[in-house]
Amino acid sequence: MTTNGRRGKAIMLEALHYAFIQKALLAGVFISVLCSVLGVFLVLKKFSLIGDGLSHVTFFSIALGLFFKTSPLYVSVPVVAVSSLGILKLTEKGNVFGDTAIGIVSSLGIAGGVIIASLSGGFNVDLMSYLFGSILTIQWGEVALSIALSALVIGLVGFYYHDLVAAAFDEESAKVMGINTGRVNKVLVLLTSLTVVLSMRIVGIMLVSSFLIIPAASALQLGLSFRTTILVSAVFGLVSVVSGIFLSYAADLPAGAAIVMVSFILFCAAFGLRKVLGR
Amino acid sequence: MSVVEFRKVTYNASGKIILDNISFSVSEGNFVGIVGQNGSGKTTLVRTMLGLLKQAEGEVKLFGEIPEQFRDWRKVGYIPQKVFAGDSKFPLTAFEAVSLGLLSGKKNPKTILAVDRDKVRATLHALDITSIGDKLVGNLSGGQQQRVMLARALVNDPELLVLDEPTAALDVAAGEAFMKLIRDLNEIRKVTVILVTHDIANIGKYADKMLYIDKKMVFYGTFGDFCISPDAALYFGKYAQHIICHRHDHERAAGEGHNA
Repeated sequence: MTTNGRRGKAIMLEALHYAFIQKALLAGVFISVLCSVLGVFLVLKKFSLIGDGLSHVTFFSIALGLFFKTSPLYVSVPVVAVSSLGILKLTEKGNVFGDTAIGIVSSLGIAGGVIIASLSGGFNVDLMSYLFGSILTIQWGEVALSIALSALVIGLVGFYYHDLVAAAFDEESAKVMGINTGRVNKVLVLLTSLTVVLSMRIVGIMLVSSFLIIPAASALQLGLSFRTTILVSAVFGLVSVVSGIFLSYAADLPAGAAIVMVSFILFCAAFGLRKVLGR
Repeated sequence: MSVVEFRKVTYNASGKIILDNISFSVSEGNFVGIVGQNGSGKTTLVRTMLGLLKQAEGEVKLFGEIPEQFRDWRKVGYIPQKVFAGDSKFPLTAFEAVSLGLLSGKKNPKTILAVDRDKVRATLHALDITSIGDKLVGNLSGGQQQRVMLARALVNDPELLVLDEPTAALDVAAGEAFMKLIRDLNEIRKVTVILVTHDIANIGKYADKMLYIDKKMVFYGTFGDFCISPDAALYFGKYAQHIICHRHDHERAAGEGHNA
């Protein structure tokens, strides 16, 4: 092993002694796998920016939670879930393109958040920590919640897996197979809303959509089968989170931003590999 | 029992009449071609038939049931007009795409079992596309993609096959090969076929009945009847009717000569 390699290993072992790193890794691993799996369906349905839109709604719901001095999570889950259904309804019935619907709901979320923040006397430290994430400060309770909700969401994706694939590939034929695509789409956006709320403590509102988009987009570069694409996307997400957390510890960088940068490097690698393989 | 039945069906969208008082029925084993110009309502008619469009006036029956209440979707194979809406990078292999056809009639959590995989292999083999099973559908040629879509529609052994302009994106040779495949399915496996196309000559060549629509029904019957139909003569003009029928006779004779 080279000197750099030995030093890297020593830093990792040192980091693993700290409880905040252990908690960050545990929660991060589950959330990253969750985001990467859902991300494949969202990217293929051209709904990848829904994460971005919903994260802006999350900003509003957190501001609301902080304003009323209650846990932002309790406010965020219902508010973001309703907003995700609103985006879907606008797309399906409102004669509005998906990206336009996301844009409308997203700007409404930001505007609402800014108004609430201004009413409460400006952006306080809590709100800023949600904006940019603070994975290194999460508590064991939040880790347990992340694991439980990740298990729930992954279980539901497994339950609807074939319906989700069929609806993403060819929605019209899926309907003629007797698949209730309306319900499948609702499940997908509701799971996404739950995932966005869960992820806000890890990467923050500003970067949460990167969790959903980049690992999936990286895996899609490789031209693999559907099942393998999902697995590779999950591996990309997992590697990004673990490497990002260690990088953040070693270089004293914000964890959320470090994770996203690693994720982008993996995307570049996948893009390069695609060129090499000629896919 | 009719496989498909339309009784006085009218469909409006945004105040415009798309289908106007259409009545016809398709019996078991029929090969019906639906023809008409762009915007004549062909795709709307098919989508109404399959319950994809609701709120049509009149009565639509699919295997004796209204499409919204129809549940036995294993009986129906469908190839829509556009499958790859510009997404050639969709990460689905031909094998996976055909497997999706087996989801009809399964309950969640749906699983693809070993017996299902055998069915997929048999269907790929029957359509002579075994060699492309592990290739991404988006990387295949237009003709291969249509065969994969046909395999997906056939993997459940449907009684009715509905195809919406399946040869529109194919070259002449691939289109011809695809049409012969459909004719064989109809003649040998007795699958009822409803085919939407622009090409009247193809209908004359392969289908045993033709439905010509222009929002309303212009003609429904055999191609032979079409050639002596006063309604068709009134709609197309006698000269155009003669040209269509002459071209049909010529192509059919050429086809029979080629087959012999």
